[in-house]
Amino acid sequence: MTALPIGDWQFWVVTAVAMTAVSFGLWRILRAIRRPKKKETSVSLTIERKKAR
Amino acid sequence: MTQHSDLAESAPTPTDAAVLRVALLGPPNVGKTTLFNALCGQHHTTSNFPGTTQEARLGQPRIDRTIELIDLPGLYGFEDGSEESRSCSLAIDGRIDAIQKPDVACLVIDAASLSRGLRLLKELLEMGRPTCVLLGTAGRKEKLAADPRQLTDLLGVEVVLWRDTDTETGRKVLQAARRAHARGAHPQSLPPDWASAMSKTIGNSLFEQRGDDHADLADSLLLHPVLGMLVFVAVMWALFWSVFSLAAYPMDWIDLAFGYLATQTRTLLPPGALADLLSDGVIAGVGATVVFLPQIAMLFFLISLLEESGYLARGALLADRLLRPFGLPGTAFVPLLSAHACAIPAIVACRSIRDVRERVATILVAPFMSCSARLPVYTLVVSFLFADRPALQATAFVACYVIGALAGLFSAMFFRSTLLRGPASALAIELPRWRVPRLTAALRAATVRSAAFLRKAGTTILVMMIALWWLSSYPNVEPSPEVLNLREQASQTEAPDESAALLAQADQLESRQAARSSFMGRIGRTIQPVFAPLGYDWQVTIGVMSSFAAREVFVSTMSVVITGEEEGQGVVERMRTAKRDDGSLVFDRPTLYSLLVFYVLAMQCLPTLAVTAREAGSVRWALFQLGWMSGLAYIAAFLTHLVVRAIGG
Repeated sequence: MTALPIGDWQFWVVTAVAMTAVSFGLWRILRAIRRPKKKETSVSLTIERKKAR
Repeated sequence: MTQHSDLAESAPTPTDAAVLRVALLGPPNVGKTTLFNALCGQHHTTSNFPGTTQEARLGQPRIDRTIELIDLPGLYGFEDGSEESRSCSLAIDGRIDAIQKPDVACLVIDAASLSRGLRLLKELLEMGRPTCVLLGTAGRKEKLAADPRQLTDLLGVEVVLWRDTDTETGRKVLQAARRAHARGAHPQSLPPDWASAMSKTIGNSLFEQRGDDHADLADSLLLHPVLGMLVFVAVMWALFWSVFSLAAYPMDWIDLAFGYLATQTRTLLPPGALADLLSDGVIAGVGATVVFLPQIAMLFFLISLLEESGYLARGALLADRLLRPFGLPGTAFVPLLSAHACAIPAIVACRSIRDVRERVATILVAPFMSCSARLPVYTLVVSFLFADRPALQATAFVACYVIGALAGLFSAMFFRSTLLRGPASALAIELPRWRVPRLTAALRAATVRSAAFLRKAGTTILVMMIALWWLSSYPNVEPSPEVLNLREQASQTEAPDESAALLAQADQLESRQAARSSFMGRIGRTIQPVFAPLGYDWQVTIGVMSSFAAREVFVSTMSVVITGEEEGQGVVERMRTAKRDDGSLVFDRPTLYSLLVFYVLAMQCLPTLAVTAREAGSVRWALFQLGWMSGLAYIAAFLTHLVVRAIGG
């Protein structure tokens, strides 16, 4: 017999944490996919230690 | 060369918009990025290896905020057809987004390769660019004796000598750039042999004290086709042996620290899902990866020392003889070597390969080189196979690197004779001079890699561990009659030891049944038939599948998915003694060998696939790379499992 412990408040807390983690992971993947297409030149640029788009 | 504190002292920010833009130009490996870092207080990678910088960088010198420095990749000429020369031409013409046209070119020249630097100076003068020259020794301990005023008169441009990387030199360079800008420039017409004539005129009077006379002898030995190769293999073996021997102690300390943290978390929090998530998911999961930090730091520290000394560039020359028969150009060695750290910058570095077919072939095989993300898996599997035998562990480690490299070379040979047919070009690499490695640079390289590793452990791995823990913890299962029976027996037994043993047995059985019935268990058992020929049970299958996002996730996944046999076991010990559903070891020898081969060959890195698609110009190449590498890994792992089992391994 298997079940989700829906009466346990801790279950909802860890589920919310897991959902947040999954959403964060998906957001990172989507952000990587949606990066702008290659520019005219292939030179990548760093300004003050930060990657410039 | 890197007294950053002197040069990085702060100056007021400019109030007017009149910023002087100075482009740092010069041949590869002359110290442009070292100067840039020192002036701007930054820490970009520097090394004694040509082609370390592959991108443009902007920064403001802290001693003069009215100047903007542009650090550019090294080049041999503005029209040599390379990607670096194209980038530099675009940059100095102001045709790159976010870089405004530089007002002055600051040409950095290594005094030991004067004519090469002067050829670039000739091109700049013919273009009519205001130019100043910084003449140095690329970090070697030779003393320059020339008079900069005489050189200025002779060459017709401001010349500064780079004796020490201190505030005074930095100030002189920036003042020379200002004077060059104030003086302006017009296109000059110079005779074709101007550079070589000037080089002869200036000649050896540049040096007060030349470098080591034994360098030629060392090179003749270390570049010998047979002896050089033997030394190269011995150096690599010693490197890995040191990594295994020296990193063992801090690894144990980290393992103990995470174990203590997990126990304390359980003590402090009330029993329940939250305590389980923190101790079994977050702490055990992240800890299982972080435990390999000392090995990664040690490896990059030692590689950086070799690179700093100039030995790795000799390795490139030795490797060129190996690369050509496989249809790869000598220039592919640099990307393939850097792929041992990470395939992503290596694939970007393939821009330096001119021929498109050669470039795509190198991009496709670069991920075969064993990157740092594979290290945790190699370390885990090798330590299970050869416990307490560091010499054998080092040999197995070198073998992993060799197998990966051979798979890459033979794949390249296949691609170059079918899909990407064409002749291989010759290698043109300038051997850097030998020098004493800088400990600070090696420490910085180790710190940067360690920080990147920890960042990944704190983001990607943390996120995956939380999700995997949830999937492996739910839904809950009722204890089976077998478990209830064992607990009943324990309560009726009077002998305390026997009762405790029965209870432990019941707990193990219950946790194994819970793991099997969890969402993760169901997913694993659904996919497991695919990996069954390789010897993987459903737990290892979950580990393999999750590591398609990033390889090092495997170790953390196993630590979350696998339940312990005894209370208080460390993460590694828990994995070593983990059992399958039938009670046999999860990590038996055939499975360990098969797993090792699979991880050496498989394409398990989403960011690398994204970069392949971008750099090779099509998603189809990325999909081909995924299919080729994973298919090869599957077949090789299957055969390995079959053979090891047949010989009774």
